[in-house]
Amino acid sequence: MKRKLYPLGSLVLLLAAWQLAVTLLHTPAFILPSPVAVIQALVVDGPGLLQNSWVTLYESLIGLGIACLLAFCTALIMDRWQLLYQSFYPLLVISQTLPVMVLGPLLSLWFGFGMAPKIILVVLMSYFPIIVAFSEALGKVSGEQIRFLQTMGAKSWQVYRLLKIPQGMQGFFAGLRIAATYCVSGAIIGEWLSAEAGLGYYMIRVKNGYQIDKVFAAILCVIVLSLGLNIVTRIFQKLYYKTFIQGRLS
Amino acid sequence: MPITLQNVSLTLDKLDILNDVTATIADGSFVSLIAPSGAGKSTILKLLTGLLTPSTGSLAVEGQPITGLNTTFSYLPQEDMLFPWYTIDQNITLYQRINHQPVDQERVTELLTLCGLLPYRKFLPHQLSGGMRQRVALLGTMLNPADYRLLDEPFGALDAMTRGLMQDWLLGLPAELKRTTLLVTHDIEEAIYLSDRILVLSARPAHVVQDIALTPITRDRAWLATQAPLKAEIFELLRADCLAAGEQL
Repeated sequence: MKRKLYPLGSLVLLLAAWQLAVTLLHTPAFILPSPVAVIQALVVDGPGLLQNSWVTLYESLIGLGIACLLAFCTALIMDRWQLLYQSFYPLLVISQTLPVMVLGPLLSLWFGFGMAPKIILVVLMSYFPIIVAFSEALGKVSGEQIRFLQTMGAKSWQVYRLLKIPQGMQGFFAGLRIAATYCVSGAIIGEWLSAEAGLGYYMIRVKNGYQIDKVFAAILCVIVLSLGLNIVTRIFQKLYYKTFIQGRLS
Repeated sequence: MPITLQNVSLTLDKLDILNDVTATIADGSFVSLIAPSGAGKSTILKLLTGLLTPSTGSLAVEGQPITGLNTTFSYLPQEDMLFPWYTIDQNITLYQRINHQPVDQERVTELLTLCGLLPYRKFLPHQLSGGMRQRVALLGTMLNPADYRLLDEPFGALDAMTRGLMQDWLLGLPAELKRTTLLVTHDIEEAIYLSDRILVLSARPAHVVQDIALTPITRDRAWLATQAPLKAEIFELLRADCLAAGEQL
């Protein structure tokens, strides 16, 4: 408990320093608003922020869900058929050197200005950390443990069900926690490029009106969404092992 | 029908592991394989389970030659084989679940009670001590209906005290739970205490250098204490062999 209070204490100190600096230096609000002004903007524009947060969250969740499914299936296929792993995994790694942001205009051109290009951006940003962590965890499963199951008559699918997937899922969830943070950023980038709603769209709109306090309020919402998704991922991980793995064998 | 190894040799990556190993393990017996480290004791168990294939020679069980992976043996490898995400109950009944056989809960409860593990049946492996985990692993092999047990240094990672307790526990098991067992160990005293026969293997490439039969009237710690000369004899055999193979002791 005491440990958790330390970062909270330093945050309060930082915010106090920020407030003091803005007050003493008379910094204009369109350059750097004070923390109090940000909170006021959050309260005043609460309904609008909530509505836009919902749009961003929706895009993020759909994209993250698709990325999870794709990463899960492709990692398993590549693990089962090593030729595919050797053929495609290096390409996957190389593909990550491409900044996803540059794909934004192309995605808008191909998929229009609706939700699809934003979701695709989220998928592209979330897929890689999940598949890398899951693939590596699958690859680290001990050969001795596999052979142990085989001496009990386990077929290939049983080795996956009893050993490889439960162990690999530790990597999957580690990747998912990173992706859960990235995915909101993916949706925001998509909304910056073309959108009619969402936190990215809101940020561009208020920035153009020099309402920087509202930009900060939107950033606060992004942080809350990312942290929230991260926490939900941790809960899912606990539930997975408790209900899905142990429950299924009972 | 016994387990037979007939002139078994194995070369892996141009390295001679086994050289002309011949042995017969009678039904119901407890046989220990003892050899210098890295001599290929565990390799023999892997050959029996079909995880490896001999370069020359043959292995058979119940008169049937061993070709490829088989489920004739209940095999406990050297590495910790408890799956951390399954409870003790689930870990010990993996064989039944893999082979879609019904789990006899009464029998499981009876064995858990016998091993002092009943209160822990819903625990996860990391919640148990090293000795308890090892008992769980051994219990898994006992719930496997196979007539033959292959144990690869099951107490190797335990401290001396727990190891001694586990050996007593294994010896004290009721006759109905005992099976033909092939134990790989590097502990001479453990081999003497538990076995009906000890096969002493040479350094790599391993072959049988001595076959020792043990027939005590009562097998207990007091009897074990009288076996110091045998322990010294086996140690000398291994030492001489290691020195001949150019290894440092």
